Formats: sequence, structure tokens, C-alpha cells
Amino acid sequence: MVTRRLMVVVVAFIFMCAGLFAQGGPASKKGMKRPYVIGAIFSVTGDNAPLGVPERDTVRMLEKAINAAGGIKGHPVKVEYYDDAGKPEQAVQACQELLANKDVVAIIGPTLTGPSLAIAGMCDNAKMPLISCAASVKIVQPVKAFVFKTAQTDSQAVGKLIDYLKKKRIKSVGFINDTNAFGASGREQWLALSRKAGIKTVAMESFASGDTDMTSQLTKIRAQKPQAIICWGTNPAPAIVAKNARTLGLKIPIMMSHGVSNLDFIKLAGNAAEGIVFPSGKIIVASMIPASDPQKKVLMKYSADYKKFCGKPAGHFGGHAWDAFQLVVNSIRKVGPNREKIRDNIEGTKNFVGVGGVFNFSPDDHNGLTKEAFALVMIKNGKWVLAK
Amino acid sequence: MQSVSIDTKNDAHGLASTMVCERKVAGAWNLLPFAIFVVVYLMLPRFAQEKQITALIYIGINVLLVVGLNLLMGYTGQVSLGHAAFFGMGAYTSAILTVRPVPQDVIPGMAVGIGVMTGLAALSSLTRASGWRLAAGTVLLFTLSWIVRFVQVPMWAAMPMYAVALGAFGASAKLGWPKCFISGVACAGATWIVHSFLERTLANNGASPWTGMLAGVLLVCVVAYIIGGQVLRLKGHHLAMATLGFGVIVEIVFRQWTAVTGGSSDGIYGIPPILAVDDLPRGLKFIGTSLSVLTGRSLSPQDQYYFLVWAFVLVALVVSINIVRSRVGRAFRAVHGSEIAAESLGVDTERYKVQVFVLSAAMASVAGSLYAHNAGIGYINPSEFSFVVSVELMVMVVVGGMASVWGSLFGAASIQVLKNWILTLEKSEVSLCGLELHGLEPIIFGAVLIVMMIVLPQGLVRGVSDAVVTGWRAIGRVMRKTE
Amino acid sequence: MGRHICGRGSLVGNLGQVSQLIVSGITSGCIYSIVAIGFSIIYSSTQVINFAQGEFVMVGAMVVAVMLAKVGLHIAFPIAVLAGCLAGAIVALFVLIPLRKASVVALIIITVGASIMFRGLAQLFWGETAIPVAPFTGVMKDGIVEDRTFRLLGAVVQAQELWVIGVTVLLVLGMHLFFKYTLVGQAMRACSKNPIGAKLVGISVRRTIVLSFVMAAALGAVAGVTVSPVFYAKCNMGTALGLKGFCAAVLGGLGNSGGGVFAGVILGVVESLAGGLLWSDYREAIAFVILLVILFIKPEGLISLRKREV
Repeated sequence: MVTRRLMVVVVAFIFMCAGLFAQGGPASKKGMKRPYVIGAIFSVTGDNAPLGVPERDTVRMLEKAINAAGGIKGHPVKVEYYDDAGKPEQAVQACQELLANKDVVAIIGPTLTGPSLAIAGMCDNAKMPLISCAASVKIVQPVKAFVFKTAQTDSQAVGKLIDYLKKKRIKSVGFINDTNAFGASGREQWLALSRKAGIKTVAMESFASGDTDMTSQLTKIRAQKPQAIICWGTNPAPAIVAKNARTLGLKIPIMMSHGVSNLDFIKLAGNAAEGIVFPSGKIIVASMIPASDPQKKVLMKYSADYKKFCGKPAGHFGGHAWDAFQLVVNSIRKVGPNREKIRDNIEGTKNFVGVGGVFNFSPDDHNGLTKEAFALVMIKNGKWVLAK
Repeated sequence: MQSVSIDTKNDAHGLASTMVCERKVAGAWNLLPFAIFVVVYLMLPRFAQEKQITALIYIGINVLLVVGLNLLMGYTGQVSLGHAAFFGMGAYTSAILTVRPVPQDVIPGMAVGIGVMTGLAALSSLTRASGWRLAAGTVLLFTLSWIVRFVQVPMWAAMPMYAVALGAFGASAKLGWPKCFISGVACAGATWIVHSFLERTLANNGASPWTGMLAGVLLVCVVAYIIGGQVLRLKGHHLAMATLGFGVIVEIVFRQWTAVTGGSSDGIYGIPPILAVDDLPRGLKFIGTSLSVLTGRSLSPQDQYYFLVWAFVLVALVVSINIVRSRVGRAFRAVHGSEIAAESLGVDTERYKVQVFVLSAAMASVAGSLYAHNAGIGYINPSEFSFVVSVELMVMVVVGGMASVWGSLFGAASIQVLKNWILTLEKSEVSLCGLELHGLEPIIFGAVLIVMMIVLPQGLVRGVSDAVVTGWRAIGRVMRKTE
Repeated sequence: MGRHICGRGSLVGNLGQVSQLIVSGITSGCIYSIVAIGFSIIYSSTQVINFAQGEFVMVGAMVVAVMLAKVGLHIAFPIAVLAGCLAGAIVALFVLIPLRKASVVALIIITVGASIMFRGLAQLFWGETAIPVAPFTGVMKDGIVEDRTFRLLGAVVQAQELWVIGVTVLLVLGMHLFFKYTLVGQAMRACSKNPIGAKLVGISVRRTIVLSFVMAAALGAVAGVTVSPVFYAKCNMGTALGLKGFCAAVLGGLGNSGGGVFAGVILGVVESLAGGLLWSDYREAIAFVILLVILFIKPEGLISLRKREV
């Protein structure tokens, strides 16, 4: 009995030590110039893989391109990719590994708000520049010295949509949102900004991300006779809202958020997507943007490069990673692989023409975008066109 | 309980032999594993890098969870499929009480809820009521609380009101009016205490982490008592079903009650870490200095947290081993073996089952509080307390060995190591048959569960040590034969 | 399926809204019923609570979604059901190997492991995104198939929802006839009531177990195929369905198929109404709250016949 117990402890101890100490440190390459290491955490698996996979592929594409051109002053660029599967605790683990690696000069990502918030404090404390690709405004407000983000904020999306509503002289709206982070945040922004713009919200409904039928909520909205319906959520629920609206025979215009700025939405909603207007990063209508727009060149190049690299059209979310990577690489080029200097350089960046918009960072604004970063897009015949 | 030999099933026989063995080999031998543990615990940080200390902290928290769950599953044979809910309740209680501003209008409701639960627990424990009568008692408590809140009855009048109403109810439902009287008082008292406590802590900008931890444990004990008390007296796997439902409900509450928990979008961040060594009172500072000497460096927050967490683990292990070896523990093993036999021996199986359930829930709550205050992170999110986590805990129990306290250590550690290994595998982007190896984790977990239960249901540790012992004996026999 | 109403705004609107909620509640309730029948069948023969039940539905839905891109419904449907049967056989195999020496707890854990594995495999092969499935009797409109709709008492009913209800009724009737009148069905019933006696009479317990798993899986797969045009096929759709179907099975009394059917439909309707009219945010929890309440008050289930588990 005792021998067994003793052995249990010994076996357990051996395994534990073996497992722990086998983790080891990062391998080092000899010979070439010291590589510059950038960490990248994306949600490559999980529900939000359609957001994370383009981001990771974009960074891969850029990494390859820059190394093919000789790296930064001869130093190759190495990106350490991690998958957080949309879970904050996995992002935390990945972040800890990256922070423990002395060679890492900056971290790009994560894709989603939850993981970003989870590691923002860590990175700030460890003085590691973090450039998140997630949407929530809470990532950069209150401002943390080392935390930036390249994704547009939902308040800007709401602002752009309100411009459109004002142009169409729509004064009363029914609002329906997903109860997840994205939808809830959008609703908050909508209430604040629509009030200022004088647009009345005559009906407010919500649904859960996994809901499969929103006919009841739409019926209630219809009863209040709004002039338009706004739906704020991420796939697949907005597609169901669109389909239900069509089934109910609703004739009023439907508007959505940048959460549906991907081909999945059109695939899921089918005919019901016709005529839906939403704010989006300009990349999806890159060819239709007027040449006078400062982003046109960048958008067309990214669009072509990405299509060549992956065979798929470039999308809204991959653009965030493009912007983040370029910001980091440009900083390294200017000030070298020093975390503090990179942070200072990014904070001082003005007029950076990216895929998501034209960035102007400042000590108070670690997002650097305005609502002009968005274009208003309409779905016509299953394709995206600029909304007039 | 003397060593009676009853030939009901294998377990009874094993029981007898275990008791005899334990009589023989007492004292020093039993302390040896603990001695090894303490030595390793103190010396490990010297050789470990920061990343490994962090992993050890997570493992420690998981061990706390698994030890409790193991007591439940291994010794009483009941499955808890919602253990992550208790984990989460401890974490959120700690987090909310230390950082999160709770809106004022929610406090009365929370106080009422906790008060009614306390009353319910008191009612069910004192009167053994169940079914419709218990439901009626609960409804009565709710109505009383609602009336008190709306009519703004002051506490000195409310308490006798509760007492009298419950007493009358008790008399009419044939439950015994004194006991119901007491439960009414308990309900009113709890409501009042919780209400004033919440108001005070929120006015003072948050409670201390230890208060938060204690509050979490108390809350979880009440809830676990209510669930366990009702469901464990039934035969079969009703605890599994009840904890499953409970776990899902709690996760949904965490996600949707945004005002209080921050929901799944924000979670709760900025939870202060517990700097266990820095915060020691003057008289105990020598602990800090001696730990510094042992590790050969000045203690970072991570190091301090490691020492704190594993101190808790040590306490939990000591408590569990004592329970397992004690009279109560033998009763547990009897319960698992055959409830009928155990009852015929005079073992109050129902009471023990409930006690184990509450104890395991309390351990989970402590683990949750420790998780929330994790140095360097201080962020919690509802997805960390989902059904998936409950299943992971079950995997850890199963791998470690379902009735082995030391095995919990192994189970928690190996699963954490496995998870890290999967992460590294995914990072290397190996391609298998053209399929990129993403999302391997659930497949491996599922396979581990299945294989373990088929091949080694007694757990990896027992299985391996059994195999080694058998091999050893076989070698011994062979060697003796050749002499 | 969910109906949400914000906290503000009026409670009960018009009749149309209530009837809409009831219609969608019946649809989801039918799925819960089928899952509950699956649970009951397996529980009767093995005393095991099969946590992979929801995954059988998912397998049916995913296979049909993927196949419909290439072949027509009349080929995809049977293939999906076959895939479901295969999944059921696999789980049966896992359960059978240790059957003699493992406790029920161990067997339950095996089914939990199987459900995780199936979910992981589905994610690996078919991705995480939702896949739209064309309705059975849809019409082509502008190149995309759309469903017909009817108006009933102020509610808009999709044709696919009628299919779900119809298929459920057929399955329930089929099961009833199977267990009552066929030799195999009667053998299974005998096995569940008295395993030793059944063995004495020559009924193979192992075969019964495999058959019960395969049947439960086939039922689940049919449900998955029928409901996928309404719900979208997604690799994690099985979790919620399985759990709620389990609630329905418990409500009706584990092992009591008929009770499970009624309980499933009632659960679906109650969930839909309560979620739509009362507690929007906590709609997902309603089924489990009901489960807990029933477990506390009447553990044998709402509709318990003479048989109770000892």
C-alpha cells in the first residue's frame, strides 16, 4: 500500500517535471543576421475563424514578401503565429509565451475584443507594443501606453450609417442587435449617437448569436412602423434576420453593420441580402473607390496581392492585420528593434495610408481613424457596390 | 466502525484489507509523500523560469478543482457535470467584490436572492422537506421578501414577520414549526447581512481579496447544499443531470447579466493580484525573506502567487487525505461500493454524499477566487467557466485516477502539459493528409477520455503503478525460481 | 429558435406574435422530442445517458449540407442517415468494449468523450462556419432556392417547419409500431425490462445495445436533415440540441419514449413563449431551469408511468 502510494508520487513528480521542463525556450538560428521577431495572435479556429484566417494569411503574405525583398536592412522578419481560438485564456497563454521571448519586439492581434482586453493589461505592464485587430473601443479607451488598434471602432461605423440615414431623410428606426460583444457595443454607440443626430429609435429588439428565428422580433418592430431597420451582429444571425424580414414581406430598407462585411453573409442570406446597406472597410469595393481617394492605390495593391497569394478576394478583416504589420515594420525600419521606440514611433504616426483607413495616431488616440475610414456598401445582385 | 468482513462485493473485501493495512503502517510512512511534496514545492522555483512558474500556478488551481471533484466522483461515485459553475461563482464573487461596480438597483435583488437561498437551505436541512412542500416554502419566502422590499418594512419588524409566517407554514405543512421558524429567521438575517455588506463594500471601493474569497465560499456552500440536499437523496444519476443543468444556467447568467458580471464582451478586468508575500504582516516577514533565500532571487508577483496557490493545494491535499483515511472516508468508499451494504452498516450515506458535494464545491470556489486574482492577468470572462471546462476537469480526474488524491495532482498536471503541447503542435503548422491540424484539441481530449475509460478506468497513475508492481512481482518470482 | 423582446416595450402584443412564437416553439420542440426519444431508447437498453445524442443530429445536418452541393436530396438524405448510423455504431462500439467491467459513470464519460470527438472532427473536416441548406420544397427565385410560406392564425409558417412536424409525427408513429408489433422491437423492450430474462430467452444483449444506438443515431440524423434548412448546419449545433433534448427526456421520464415526445414539444413551446414574452436574455436557460425544478419536485418526470427506476 505504501509502496504504491510512494510510487504514485514519484511517477507523478517525474511526469510533471518532464512535461514542464520539456517546454524549453525558442530555437535560435545561426548564420544569418538576427531576425526581427513579431508575435501574431489570431483566432484561426473557433466561431470567428472567418475573421482570423484572412488576418493570418495577410501577415503570412507580407512576411514572405518582405523577406523576399531582403528583410529590413538585411535582417529577416520572423513572425511567431499563435491561435487563440477566440478564447481569452488561450490568448493569455500565447501572450505569456511571447512576452517570455526576448526577441519579440511587438505583438499583432488578437482578432477579437475579449482576448484583446485580456492581454492588454499584460502587454502594457510588460512594455510590449500591442496592435490589436479587434473592434471594441474599450481596448484603447482609457488609453494604455503600449496598446493600439487598427480596426475601426463601431462608433465610427454608426457615425457613417447615421450620415446615410440623414441623407435619405430617415427619422425613425427599428434597431435589433446580437447580444454578443459586437452587437451590444454597437447598440450602445447607436443609442448615444442617434440621439444626438435626432433620429428616433421606435423599437429595440435583440437576439442571441445562436438564435435561429427572429420573426417575432421583426413583427414587433414592424408594428411600430419605423422607416428603416438596423441590424447589428455577426454571422450567421444577421443572415437569418434578412431572411425572416423577406419572409414577413417587410418593404422598408434594412441596414446592417460591418459584421456582415464578408462573402459568408451573401452566401447565407441568399436573395434576402439584396438591397442591404452597411458600412464597411473600403477594401471590398476597392475597384469602385474614386481615384481621388488616398487609399485607392493601397487598396488595389492589397486586393491584387492577396488574391494572388490565397486565391480568395481580400476582405475587411485581413486589412486590419495588414495595417498592424505595416505599422510595426515601418517603425522597425525607422527606429530599430526596440520596443519603447517602436511604441513612440507608432504613437507619432500621422497620415499612414492603410487598408482600414488613413491613420493619425496621437497620445490620446491610439486608434487613429475617423468615420471616413468606412464606405457605405450596398448589396446588389449578390455583389458589393457603393451605396448612393 | 470496526473491520467487519461482509462479502457483498469486491470493494468490501478491499475495504477490510485497506483498514488492516492502514493500522499496520502508520505514522512516518504516510508522511513521506507530503515531505517530498513540501521539499519540491519549496525548491522548484529556484530552477524554474517565469513561464514555468505561470504554468505551475495554473496547474495548482486545477489541482484544487480536481481534488474536490475526485472526492466526489471517486469516492461517492456521483458525477458532477457542472463543476466549472462553482469555479466561476468563486471567481466572479471575488472579482465583483473587489473591482466591479455593481449598480445600486441590483443590490436589493441580490440580497433577496441570497437570503431566500439561505432560508431554503436551512429549511431543507432542518426539516428534510422535499418536493411540493419545499417548493411551497420557497414561494412563501419569496413572497415575504417581495412584500418586505416593496412595503419597505424595517428589519426589526421583518424578522418576526418571517419567523411567524414560516412557523405557521411549518405547523400547517406538518414540518414542525420551530424548525421553519428558524429558517425564516435565517432567511431574513441573511438578506439583511448581505444587503448591508454589499452596500458597505461598494461604498468603500471594494472588499479585500480575502473577504471576497470567503464570501464566494459561503455562497457556493449554500447553493451546493441546496442542490445536493435535494438531488443526492435520489438514486441514480440525478446529480449528473442537476449539475449539468446548473452549470449551463450559471454560464448563461455570467454571459447575460452584463450589469453585474460584465458579460462575455468585457468580462471583468483589473482584478488586483494578491501579493501574498509583500502583504504579510510585520511578524511574518521572515517567511518572505526565507522564501527569497530559497529561490535565490527577490520574489516577483508570479513567484509569490505560486507559493500562495500551492500552499492552498497543500492544505487541500492534507484535508482530503485525512478524509479519505478517516472513518468518514471509509464510509465514502463503502458508499461507492454498495449503498445498500453501507446503509446496513449504519452509514448515513445521504449526509456524507451531501457533505462531499459541498466540500468539493467549496474547494472549487477557492480555486476560482485564486484564478481571478491571478497575478499578472486579473481578467475573467464567462467562456472560462463553460461546460467545456467542466468536461476538462472530468478528464483530469479520470486521467489521474478516480479515487486517488495524489492522482489528482498528476491528472491536472498532465492535462495542462497536454494542452501546451497541442498549442505548440498547432504552431508548427504541420500538415497531415492535406488537412491543417487546427482544432486538434477537442479530438485529442475526446480520444483521451474514451481510451482512458476503456483501457485504464482506474486512472493513469494507478494503472501504471499497478503494471509496474505486477511486473516487479513477476520479476521477483522469476528470480526466486531460478535460485 | 428564439424570440426576444427587450425589457421595455409592451408584454403581450397581438395574437399573431403569440401564434408565431408557438409555431417556432413546436418546430424546435419536435427536434427536442426526437432527441429525447433517442436518449430514452439508449437509456432503456444500457442505463447509459448518451451525451453524444446531439452530435448525431449534427452529423445528419452537416452531411446533408455538404452532400447537397453535389447530389440531389434523394441521395443526400439516405447518405446522411447512414452517416448517422455509422456514428451511432462507433459510439456503441466504444461503450460495448468495457461494458462488463466498467461502471455506469465510466460509460457516461465515454459518451461525453465521443461527443467531443465528433464535434472536433466535424470542425476539422467541415469548418466552423454555418452552411446553408436548401429547403425540401423550396422554389427557385433569382437563382436561389427559397421556401414557401403559409399564413396560419396570424403567424408566418415556413414549409420546412411543416416538414419537421410531419417527419416527427411519422417517426413517433413508426417507433411506436416498431416497439409494439415487430419481433426486434419487442426483443428490445424485453431487454430493457429484464436483461437476465431476455438473455435466458436467447436475446443477444450486445446486439440490442448496438441496435439501440444505431436507431437513436438514425433518428437524430433524420431530425438533423429535416431541420437544417431552418437552423443552418453548424458543427456546434449539437451541443444545445443535445442538452435540451436531454431535459425533455428527463421531463418525460428517462426511458419513457412517449413521455419524452410530449415533454419535448411542451418544452419547445414553453421556451419559445417564455423567451419571447418574458425573459429575453435568459431564454437559453429556461429549459434547464425547468429541468432543475422538475428534478427537485418530481424526479421521475412529469409523465411517469408505473415504471420507476430503482
